[in-house]
Amino acid sequence: MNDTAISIRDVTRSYGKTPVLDRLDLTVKAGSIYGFLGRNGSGKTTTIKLLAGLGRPESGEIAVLGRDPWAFTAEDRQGVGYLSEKQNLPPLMKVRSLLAFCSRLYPQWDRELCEGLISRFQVPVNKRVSALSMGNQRLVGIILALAPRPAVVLLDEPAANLDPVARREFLDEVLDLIREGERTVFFSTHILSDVERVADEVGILAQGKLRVSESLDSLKETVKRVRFYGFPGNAPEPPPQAFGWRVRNGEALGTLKLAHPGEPAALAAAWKCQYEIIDLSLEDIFVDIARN
Amino acid sequence: MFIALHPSSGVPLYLQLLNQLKERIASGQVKPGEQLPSVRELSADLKINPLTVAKVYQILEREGLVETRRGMGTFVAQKVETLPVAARRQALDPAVRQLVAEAIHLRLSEAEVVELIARHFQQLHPRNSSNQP
Amino acid sequence: MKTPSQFWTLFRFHAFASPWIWVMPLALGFQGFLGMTRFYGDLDSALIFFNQLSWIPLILAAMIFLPEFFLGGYWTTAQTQQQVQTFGADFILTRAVDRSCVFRVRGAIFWCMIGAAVVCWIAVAAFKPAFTLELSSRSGAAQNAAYYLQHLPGGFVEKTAQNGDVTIKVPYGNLQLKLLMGAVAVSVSSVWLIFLPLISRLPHRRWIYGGIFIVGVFGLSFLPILGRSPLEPALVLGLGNLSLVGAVALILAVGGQLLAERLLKPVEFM
Repeated sequence: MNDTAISIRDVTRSYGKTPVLDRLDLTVKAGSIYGFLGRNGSGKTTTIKLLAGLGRPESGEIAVLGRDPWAFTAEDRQGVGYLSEKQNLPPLMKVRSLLAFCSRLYPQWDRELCEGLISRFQVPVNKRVSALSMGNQRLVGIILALAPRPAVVLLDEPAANLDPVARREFLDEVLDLIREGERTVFFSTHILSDVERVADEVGILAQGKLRVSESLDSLKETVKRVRFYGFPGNAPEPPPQAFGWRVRNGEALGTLKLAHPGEPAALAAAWKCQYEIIDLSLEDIFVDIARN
Repeated sequence: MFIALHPSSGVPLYLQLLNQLKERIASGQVKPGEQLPSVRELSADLKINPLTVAKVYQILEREGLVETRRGMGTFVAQKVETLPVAARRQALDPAVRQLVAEAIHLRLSEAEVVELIARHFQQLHPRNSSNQP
Repeated sequence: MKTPSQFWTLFRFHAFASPWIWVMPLALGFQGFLGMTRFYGDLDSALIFFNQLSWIPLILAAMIFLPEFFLGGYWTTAQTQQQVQTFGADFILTRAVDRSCVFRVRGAIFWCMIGAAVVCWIAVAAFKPAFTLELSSRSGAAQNAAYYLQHLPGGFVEKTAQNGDVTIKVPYGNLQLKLLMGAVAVSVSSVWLIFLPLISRLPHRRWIYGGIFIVGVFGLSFLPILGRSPLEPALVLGLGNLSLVGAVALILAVGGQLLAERLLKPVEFM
């Protein structure tokens, strides 16, 4: 296997006349946990559906494990687990029979893992899917996606409707999966603390384009909020690397993407002012990037 | 090993882990020659991405704080190879800057700050504080 | 993985995962018990049982093949919602299955249901295979009798009353009627099977689908009010050429399924 699990090249896709993805480029390394962020309607679900082979891009190329998802065979699909954003599981089936049905489609279905997940998530398997809470239905969907031990797992908002304990259990499970070797998890979420805990790469989608795609550590290290103060005259215009720039009472507050750590000092020297660097959480970074 | 991490803080997770491990090694809570938990164990224990732990171990190894013995694991280095003074100073600079800013804010004098620092040296690293001013 | 086992796993899933797909075939099969064996003046009233054939296969095809495209919307009930969730592509097409296999399985289920209904009609009719047609002298019995005797295979004049009324008996008429009904059901089903994927990408697909349903339920039922139904001669003609109609139906079924599979291949489920 090569070391790229997912590659999206120059992909454009729209719904009717509404453009959703605009020449999107995205690469996910094999073995990483990729947190896919974006506001509602930014195209996250569209991207994941394209990766799952439910549709085709209007232009551009997509490869998951080196194959075009639209042309996936049953064998290709064994390597790709998918959890949809909507809770579309057969509602009148008992959880047990639903699991049995899916296990027959996957030769490498891991019975032990499946049972382990059931007891860990405490899912009532003898009830019909429709009788479960939304959270438990979500967990069933997650079990269905993880139990065949796929090389790539696509999860669209897996943590929606999960209570904090279940969410933590789920994240642990994802980490366990990764720890075993060359597996890739690609998940979208609005819960940024989950991303911060487990993801090593993050992508932020806005207006159909990927604004940021890099390791979480380097994102936190290079995107900083800097407060400049004590200008000799008026506050200067925002530098080109600023995501946001506010000026008030002779102070300027900007979120900057730093090419090197000495940049704020250099800017301050040029403007003959002083500065203060403020660390940003992923949520701060996300809000500043997605808003602009 | 109990380590408290705060994923939502602005400090990258790996840096939090790195700093805490460095502190434990510096203060002798983990002795030279002692084995550190494996990447798998520590990541399972802390419930974080194994790549983060691996990255921290790599940095520690590069800085000479730990050594990896093939097939055996990661151990705290016997003799701590130190970086050049200039590099070490630079690494500490931002923390000191913040400390001083805070001290000015609280109207503490330089002497008082130095005294506080000395006390912490005493607590964390008793052997060195007396003979290395 | 071998395709046959995938086929049967999927077949079992489609047959048992949602009980709602059985409602329509049961309604269709039930028609067999409602047949009549005595007609007055013409065979128009037999057409009442043909009306359902236009819309029941339509709903069944939508439920089985493309539920998320046609069900739901304004008239969503819990049942249609459950049907959409069970057969929705979001779940089944993202499991380890071949897309073509899923649609082949759906075709198999669909044709099993239509086929079971047809078999049910014929089996019930076998117990009462004949029908009689009474022609009144007031509306030209002799002329009409000649027309019916020419077209209805096996028909003969059972008796001629003194006032000129003619009673025609067709010994296997009821059975032939049900066979024709089966052939029409199969042909109509094939048409819907091709039609649904074709309109699935139109923004007004739900209106078209709903429109056909309403015309099927009400429009055809009111045809007899207009007097002599324009479809009655077609019925007689069909009864006269049963083997031809049957052959056309079979060709349509096979061709319809194959064409439907081809049309469903590029359908996106976004």
